[in-house]
Amino acid sequence: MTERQLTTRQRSAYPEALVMAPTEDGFRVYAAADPKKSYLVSGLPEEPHCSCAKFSQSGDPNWQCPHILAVREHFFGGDGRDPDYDMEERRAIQEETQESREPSRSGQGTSAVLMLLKRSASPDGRIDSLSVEFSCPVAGTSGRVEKKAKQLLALQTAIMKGFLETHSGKTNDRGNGVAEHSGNGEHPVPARLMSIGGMDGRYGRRLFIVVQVNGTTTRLFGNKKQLSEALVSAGYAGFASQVAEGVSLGVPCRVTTKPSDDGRYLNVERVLPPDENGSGR
Amino acid sequence: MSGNGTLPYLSHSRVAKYLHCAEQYRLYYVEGLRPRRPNASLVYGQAIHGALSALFRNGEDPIEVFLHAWEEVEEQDLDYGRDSWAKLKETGRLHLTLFVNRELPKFTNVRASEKDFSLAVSTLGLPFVGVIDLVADLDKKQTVIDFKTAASAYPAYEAAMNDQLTAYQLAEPEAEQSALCVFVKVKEPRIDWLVGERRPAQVLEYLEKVDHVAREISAGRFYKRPGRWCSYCDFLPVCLGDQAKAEETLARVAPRP
Repeated sequence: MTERQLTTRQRSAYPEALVMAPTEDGFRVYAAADPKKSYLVSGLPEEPHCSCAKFSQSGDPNWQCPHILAVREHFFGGDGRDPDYDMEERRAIQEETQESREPSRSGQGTSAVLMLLKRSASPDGRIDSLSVEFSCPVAGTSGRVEKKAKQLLALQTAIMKGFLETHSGKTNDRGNGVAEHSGNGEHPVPARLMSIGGMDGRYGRRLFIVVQVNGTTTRLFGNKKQLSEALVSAGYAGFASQVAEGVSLGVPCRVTTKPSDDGRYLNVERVLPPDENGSGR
Repeated sequence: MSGNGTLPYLSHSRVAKYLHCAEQYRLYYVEGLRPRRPNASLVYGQAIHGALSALFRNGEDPIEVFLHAWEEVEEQDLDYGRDSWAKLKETGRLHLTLFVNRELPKFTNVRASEKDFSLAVSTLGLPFVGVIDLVADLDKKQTVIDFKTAASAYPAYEAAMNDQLTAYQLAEPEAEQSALCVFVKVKEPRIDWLVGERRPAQVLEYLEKVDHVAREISAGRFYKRPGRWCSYCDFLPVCLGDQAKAEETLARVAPRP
């Protein structure tokens, strides 16, 4: 098979192999078969724009080129969702959506207003979001439809307000319902050092202490010396010489924490001995 | 064949490990097994990478960075094989001296060092991620470079066929060429270059392969691939059913997500 035949065969097998990489301005898109030509897709989800010639030549404002469609499909789930949505949340929502299909089908054909509440939560507490959907038949004059829509929006706002009030401090400033870790700054809180683990990092094996704090499990990374020092700080000098992967600790302590720069993780700043009655968590 | 094929993302290293031996992939990524005594050659490679990264990112002296890192390694219980801590220390010093004196002048216009990438590919269901060691002009050509340490020279065809370079070319489409810079740990340490280009057909072929592997992993298909390489595989005791040896030499870490 010649190189040309091979390329042709693969182009037909993978006709839409588009590569998409997020950039500061949007998404850089190029065909794997023709990587030297790349395009910038921006403005999604509301006002998509592509730097390709076909897009600029199209007179139809609703027409979307393959680059926009690919980015929309991959990063916005095809329907304009926030691209920052975590994969776990996508999965959780998908599972919930599947479960919720049966009741909604049973409601078809009735004139009742259907309300669909979708709550997504991850075990580590990073995700706790709520979506409220209403659907109702559209009938009557436009005035009546508008009135009904306003009533539903008011109800939706009230439900969301109630949810956000009970979860204030957990919702981040994007307002997308993804919980953020809030650190306790300089105020130590009870915690528990569970075990010593390890994982492959860019520069080799990295050790960490598994720490349970505020109902969350986090990791305190460091080299052997740093982890030994943390154990000594927590009042467990006996463990300091035993820092190795797989060692079980299970001891109480107190820690100060701080969220990571991107707000996704809770970092342990300082490890301190447990309070006088020895309570951990 | 067993285990769950949970796959959070795709990468060249995952694909390569699966293609080398699917059972090895399962034991490493799914079961989370690791040798209790890490291989010194791997740690050496990481120390060299760290030194080069410090050079290109911060202008630090790579020899100093390496020697400092290697001092920290001394207390660790590593599997040195026929090497020793002192021998690798000297090899590293010589390698990096050679690099600074002979190879560094070839680089201009360093664009990125240790560059993370995460690509969405429309034919793949998961992000394709990786870290590129260096993007710079090599002899005035924009080049994607991967640093390797090896006990013997790489065969010449790797320049044209190495999958890792194909993956990096996918992530850096402007690059005119890709290259392996191999630190060969022979009696007189030397540095070899293998420079090649990637045609779109090769990139598409690679994407097909990645897609196929991803499907196999997701389906939980992990076959053993017996061969000579088993003799130096950390997981051989598991495949041989030697439970005592497996427990002695392997530790289970938290499986990767």
